[in-house]
Amino acid sequence: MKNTIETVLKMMPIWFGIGFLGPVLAEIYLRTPLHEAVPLGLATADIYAVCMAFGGLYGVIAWRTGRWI
Amino acid sequence: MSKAIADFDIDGMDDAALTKLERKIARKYMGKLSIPMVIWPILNLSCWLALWPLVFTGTIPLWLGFIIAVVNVTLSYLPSHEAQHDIYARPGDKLRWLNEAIGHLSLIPLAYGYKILRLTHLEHHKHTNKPVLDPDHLYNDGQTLWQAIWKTVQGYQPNSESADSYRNCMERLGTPEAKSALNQQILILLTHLAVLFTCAAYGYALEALLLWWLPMKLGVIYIRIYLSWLPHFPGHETGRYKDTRGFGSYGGVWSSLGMTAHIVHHLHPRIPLDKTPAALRELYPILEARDCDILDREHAH
Repeated sequence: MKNTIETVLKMMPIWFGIGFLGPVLAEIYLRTPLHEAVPLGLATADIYAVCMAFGGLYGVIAWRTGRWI
Repeated sequence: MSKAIADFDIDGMDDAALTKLERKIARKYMGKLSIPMVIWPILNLSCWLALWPLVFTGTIPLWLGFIIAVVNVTLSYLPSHEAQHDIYARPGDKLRWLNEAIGHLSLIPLAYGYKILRLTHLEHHKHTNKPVLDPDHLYNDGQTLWQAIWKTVQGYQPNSESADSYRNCMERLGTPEAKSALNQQILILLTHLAVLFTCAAYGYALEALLLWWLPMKLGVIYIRIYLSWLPHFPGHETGRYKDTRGFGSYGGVWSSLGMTAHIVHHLHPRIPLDKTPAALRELYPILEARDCDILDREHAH
């Protein structure tokens, strides 16, 4: 049980990337004039999916390298 | 209390007499409940909590909420710091509940646990500027402002040495209290993330970003610079009269949140924050005699 919790906590950058960073990026696109300046022609759900996938991927990199920047 | 720097004669006083006089002066500022320091956390926390409904309902714009939140988060540490030193009330006192309540609640905007901050801060006082033993040392040994900021940013990285310094301190202490503090911190971290994720799930990720996550990152940079790096610069001096210094702040003592007088806090940690500038002015001749690193009189405030 303790090991499982520790593993889940160590993978926190991934959860953060999917659960927060991705939606933040999606909202930056959808709720600012950015979506007018750069129209992607995607549905809102698709924008969220792409951003959350990017956030998760970035989280994996942060988890593996130990660095966000 | 006079704003002038004290100028009494200490010629001929030996070490013991100086210590006696220093303690006599310090005692004048201790032991009374500081009302401004009680009002501070109540107003600050109330203001930060009020931002959420105000922004969510569109009563105030998000950019304004963000600016206020940065100020709130920056102001959230010091009342808890007072509680960490039992300044509001000591164990067994009638108002002990107030001390503990302020200690825990004022830290909500910082998403940090009172227990872990208390234990690590007391270790910082015990071992100021000593590598390994001072949990703040990794943050404080930068030699330029940019290095100090960068060290704080490094602390935000998942596997950084500085991010681990508080956890290592708890493991070094190894007491049941330290274990409990670490568990409390994990619980707070998970709760903080749960709030961020929930906001994101309901389409309020930008609000969570600008009312909590980003203000926290910016606030901690200010706190690390003014409350930790500047008072202990260059970060390797040790000893009661050497490990903390006086410094100037362009906007005066309160632009540094009273940290230009932080040397007084390290010498007499139970003096309330709002009394430390006055105590510093009165202790000046003694600190000069002790060869402390303080500003020339004409530059001190």
